[in-house]
Amino acid sequence: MFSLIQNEWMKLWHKKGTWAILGILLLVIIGVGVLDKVTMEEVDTSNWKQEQQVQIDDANAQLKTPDLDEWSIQMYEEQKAMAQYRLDNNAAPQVNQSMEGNMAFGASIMVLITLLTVIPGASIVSQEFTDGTIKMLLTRPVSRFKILTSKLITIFLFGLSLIVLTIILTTAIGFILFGTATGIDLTIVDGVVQQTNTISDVFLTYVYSLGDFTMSILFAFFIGTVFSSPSIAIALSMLFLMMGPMIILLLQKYIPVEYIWLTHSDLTQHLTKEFFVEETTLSMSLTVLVIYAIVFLALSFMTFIKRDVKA
Amino acid sequence: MSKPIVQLKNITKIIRGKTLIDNMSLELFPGQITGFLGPNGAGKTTTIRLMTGLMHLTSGTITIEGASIADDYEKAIANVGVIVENPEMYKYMSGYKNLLHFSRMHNGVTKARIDEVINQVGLTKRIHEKVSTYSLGMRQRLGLAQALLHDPKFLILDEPTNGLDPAGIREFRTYLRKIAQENNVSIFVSSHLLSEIELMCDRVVVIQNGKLIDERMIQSDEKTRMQLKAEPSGVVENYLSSNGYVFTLHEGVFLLDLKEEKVPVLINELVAQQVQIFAISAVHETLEEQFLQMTGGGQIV
Repeated sequence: MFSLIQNEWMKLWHKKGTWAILGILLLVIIGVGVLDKVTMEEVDTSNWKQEQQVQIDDANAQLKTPDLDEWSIQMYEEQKAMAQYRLDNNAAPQVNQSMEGNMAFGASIMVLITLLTVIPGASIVSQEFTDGTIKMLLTRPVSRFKILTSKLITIFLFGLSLIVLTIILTTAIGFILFGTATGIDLTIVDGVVQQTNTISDVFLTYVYSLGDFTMSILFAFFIGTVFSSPSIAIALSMLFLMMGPMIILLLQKYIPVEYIWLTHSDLTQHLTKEFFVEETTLSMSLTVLVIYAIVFLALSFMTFIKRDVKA
Repeated sequence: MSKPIVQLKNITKIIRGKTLIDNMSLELFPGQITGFLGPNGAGKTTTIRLMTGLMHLTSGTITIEGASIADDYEKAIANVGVIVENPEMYKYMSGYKNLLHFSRMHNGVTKARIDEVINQVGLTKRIHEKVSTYSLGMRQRLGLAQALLHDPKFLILDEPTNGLDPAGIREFRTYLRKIAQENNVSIFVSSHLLSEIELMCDRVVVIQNGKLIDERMIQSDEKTRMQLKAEPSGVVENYLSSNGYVFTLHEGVFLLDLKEEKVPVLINELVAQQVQIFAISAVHETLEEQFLQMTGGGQIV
């Protein structure tokens, strides 16, 4: 199995498209970092304590306004609480771009990484058919099951490599250009002011983004295996990846969309608690995704093993 | 005759109600080169795809060295080297990387073996260039190389000389003969070049409408009829009849029964008698004539 993956890896990196994918990713990561640095205006943070006091006074003044609506009251109360917290705990605000901020940017481009992995994912099987090399590949003492498995593993390895590369680069570039954060970000959870831990947020974003990543690759792989046409497979998977939420909103009126994988594949919904259909539990989402993953895989393997090769 | 290495027993392939291969049986033997002929759409490529496991049988069995293609694929195919139609290689990689790729899928193919095969097919100079820069003939050579990597006992070749120049075809033919004889490899060649099959093969099987319609041996190295053009014809006629040759004379050309190995003797004798020899060549009813007779003149290609 190792030598089969070695083969697929070799073929993948001999294609110009793979290098173009890598180039796009590098361009985005480096480009955005440099752009951030160039456009950044250093804000002087030495007198932050006075500013926080101003915030408190401002909030107090606003709260005295008669007939203030509930939403505004909450907003000013939170403003007051946060400023007070900063003064009490000597926690300066983070106003300038930082290494942590750049790392968060890395996590936010998981959609791009997914998109870039879907392209080889859709073509790794189908291109063998359009090139006619499939008959050379299959007339070997290796089962079709193993060949397809090696291709699937290779694509996930490729995608994971892109993720690791993104993590390393955004951290390194962030550190070189901006240095580590000098302040602290705050959030209010259930009325209590808390310090946010950017690093763990970044980590969680990466982990939760793996849902969309995995499902999109499995879907592309499945379409590529069944239709044996790279262009159809790439187009369909891109469509579903980019327009997923839109498709769900359209279908919502006609079918119970909570049983469609597209409703759940973006697991970051559970992180932000902003659901584009209606609130579900993480276990519900994971169950739906696992079932669809099994279906995609089963269909891919069945068609690949059973089919008569005429290419 | 020795035990067959490949056995096709009552194989049938039906796709969407259409019978492509109809209850066909065939045996192939070690050390023998079998030509596979048939008109367009007769089922040649389908048969080869069934033998290599690219397509699945509807019924019947195919065994290679006792292992069934359907039930024991990996064992059966381990002994087979294949070129199906044009050898489609990974064009974006070098010839060497292609061979490396396929060698990893077989057990025990060493780097030394890869180099040996490259040398055998004569690609040493350009093996590290991308396949996309290769001519059709070079791709055929690379195709042969990948089929030979693992030293197969059974070689399936579909239109192998397509794109080779005459020198290449000749070299290829000699090479196939050599591995058939020396390594006792069984070779199954489909081709539309009938003269090619005739020169290359020991045996020919003909398929039409998914059925075998004929099977015969070729004795290409024992041509018994020669045609001779020589002057003055009176002297030649005199010499032939007085030395007991069976011959006819037709428009200044002699047709005589003569084994190939006896040709130099006759030439020496005639030259000694001041005869001018313009041509001597073997005459045989061509396979093409036989083939067209058998298949009713259908398209061959």
